[in-house]
Amino acid sequence: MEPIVRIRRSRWLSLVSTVLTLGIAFVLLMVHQYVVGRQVLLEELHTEAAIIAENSSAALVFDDARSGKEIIAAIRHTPRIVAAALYRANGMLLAAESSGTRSFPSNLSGVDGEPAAGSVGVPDTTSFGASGGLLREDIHFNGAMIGTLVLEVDFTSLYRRLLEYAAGVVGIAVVALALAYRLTRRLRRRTARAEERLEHFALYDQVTGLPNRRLFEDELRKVVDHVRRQAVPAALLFLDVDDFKKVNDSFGHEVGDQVLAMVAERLRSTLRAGDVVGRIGGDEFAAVLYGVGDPDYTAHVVRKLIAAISVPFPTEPTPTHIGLSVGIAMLPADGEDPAALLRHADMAMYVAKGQGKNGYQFFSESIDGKVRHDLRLEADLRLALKEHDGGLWVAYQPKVCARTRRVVGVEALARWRTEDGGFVSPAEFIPVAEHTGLISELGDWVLDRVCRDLAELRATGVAVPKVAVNVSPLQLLRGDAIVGRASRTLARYGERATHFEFELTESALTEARGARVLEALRAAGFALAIDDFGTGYSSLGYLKRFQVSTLKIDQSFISGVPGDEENAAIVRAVVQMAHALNISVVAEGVETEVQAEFLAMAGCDILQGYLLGRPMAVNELATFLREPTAAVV
Amino acid sequence: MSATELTRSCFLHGFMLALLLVLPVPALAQRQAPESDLKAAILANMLHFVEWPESGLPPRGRLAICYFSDSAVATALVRLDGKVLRNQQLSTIRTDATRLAQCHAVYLAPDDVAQFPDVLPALRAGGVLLTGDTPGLLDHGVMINLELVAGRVVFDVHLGAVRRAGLTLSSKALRLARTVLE
Repeated sequence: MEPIVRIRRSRWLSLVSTVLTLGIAFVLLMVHQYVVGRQVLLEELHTEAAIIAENSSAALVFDDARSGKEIIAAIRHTPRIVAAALYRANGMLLAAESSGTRSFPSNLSGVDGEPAAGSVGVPDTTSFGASGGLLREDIHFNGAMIGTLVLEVDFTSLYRRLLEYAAGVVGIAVVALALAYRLTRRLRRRTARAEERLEHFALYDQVTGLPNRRLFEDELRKVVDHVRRQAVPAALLFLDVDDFKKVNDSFGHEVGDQVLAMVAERLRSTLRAGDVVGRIGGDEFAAVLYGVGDPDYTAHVVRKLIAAISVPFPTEPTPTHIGLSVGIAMLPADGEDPAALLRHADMAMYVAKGQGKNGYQFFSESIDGKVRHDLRLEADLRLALKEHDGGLWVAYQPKVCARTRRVVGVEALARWRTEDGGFVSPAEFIPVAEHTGLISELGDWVLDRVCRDLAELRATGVAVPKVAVNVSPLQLLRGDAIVGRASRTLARYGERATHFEFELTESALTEARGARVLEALRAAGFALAIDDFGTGYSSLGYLKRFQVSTLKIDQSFISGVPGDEENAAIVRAVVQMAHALNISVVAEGVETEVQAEFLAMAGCDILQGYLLGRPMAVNELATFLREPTAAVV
Repeated sequence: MSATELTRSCFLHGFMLALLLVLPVPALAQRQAPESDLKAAILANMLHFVEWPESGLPPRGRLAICYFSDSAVATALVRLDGKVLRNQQLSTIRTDATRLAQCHAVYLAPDDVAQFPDVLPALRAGGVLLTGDTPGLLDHGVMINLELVAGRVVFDVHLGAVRRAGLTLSSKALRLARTVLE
């Protein structure tokens, strides 16, 4: 609203200033005209008086009243001179001419006494007032004064001329202004249009036509006021387009803009006309549902929005598929201040994204805490990844042969020790790394650290059998660059790929996009192991396809054996199937001797768990491996 | 009286008389003043409005009015002798027909009319204003003739005679004449 008001006020001000300037100019012009006009008038009067005086010299010399009257009768030609009188040198009246009822005294010096009623009182010298006055001049002839001429003058002609002049000026000014107004019409229209466009630029996003961040925040502020004053609820939605970056990367920014425009259109058409939708970031939108206070209804609306966006967008050459992550903050419950509300909706959206995208999340206080915590964690993790001794380190858990209890390998596990000596659980920081895309960097860092640790061990004469490193499915989605990076890291430290094994969860196999990466890993010589087997979806065909070498039975099955008959049956079945496919089996979470015995009997190849060894730092591992029971395989 | 005081009083006198000369005698006074004084004043004032040719004039510094014989008007003229007129002194000179060259103006009394034919040739040489107050003189070459009519002195002008004498009479005075003859 601001710019509009400012523009109108500026137009009003310019009009007022124009009028004021013209008014002052007009007044000054009229004053000048009056001054000059009066001067000219007086000059002319003096000239006329001189002419009359000149012509009347003979009449005065010869004391000829008739002739004198004839001469001063000439004033009838000048409306300026109302009456005239000739006086002799001794002050006696010789002749007078008057157009009105005025009469002159018969004696200049007033010897007669008071002037008669209706007669003109003659001052001693020329005197003028505003509307006229008396001009009195002595007449000289051949060096001597022979009489006095008195003229009664009237200035109304001056004022009339001034009025005519003023009218003329005003008339001309009006015509000129009208002409200028007409001629500048096009210019003014263009200016008005430019102002409108400027306003539009300032408040609206050009790509989508939606209100931009600034306008949206203004509207939000208004809604907050409304909510506060009239106790009407509202819902604030923060909408983030999932995977928009890949649209720009695959199709280019022009198509990306088209998609955004289409997204905006779909959002707008799904919501009511009275709801505000704005584009507040690159791929971020926000909306206010005014009058909506019921969370269920809000969720219903959000689901409609998500559904609308899930329909493919008709782009060339291929349609675009994107999703929507939505964070919801309710007014007035989740905030009284627009900035806080936006922040809370944003946090909720962040959580929604973390939960797998194309979904929604309502804000809550715990989210606030969690998001803040996650953000801090992310920042710390970034820092830690840059250093070799920044708090991140790798722990190694031994894997032993079920029969001989000899160490056949280790699993490398990421660990994080904070500055204040605290401990961040992998269950916390691994998901954060996955959300923020730091997982690849973390994976690379772990591999690098493992290689260094191995080198350190080799230097002390300790050889480590196979090392297993965990790989997150999200790392696979980044493309097969991971294979190249891993190979290079190994080459740098002189390690062979066959020394390593990558542990993946079952879901990694079923993720179509990851297939290529798995094949690449196998081609590079890395072995693949399936972690937490039995807890997710498995396609047994994939076990064959990707040449999986090891299955690790999840500890949830191990903890019950041998008492839990169902779990025991599962273990036996898995072992049988795996052996049939030439895949070795590892049992995770072995904690008791009883479990170990059973597992060995059931045919498990390798045991891993606290019974056999806890995850330990590299120097502890060195000591562990020097034990007589350890054997290099 | 000191020299400066004397000069001042003379100046004052002269000024006042000049005023008298230039100032018209009040209408009231005109009715009461003697006819000869009025006529003399008019004759003298007429000199304000006459232009003489540049060459062959009596010496500058004075304006000469001449008369032939004693008359009332001549006596009045004599009373005006020495007054300042047009920055020059008025001289009233008694003369005869042979010494007219020194005159600016000449007054012919009614008694002088008999001598007029003798005067005429000398006058025809030019440069002299011929005036009189006898009816019918204009036909005989007089340029300005005065006459008392209803208590007022009026004058007639023979413009042709004025021109033939090489003189000019200002139209300001002419318009006051009763008649102007060509």
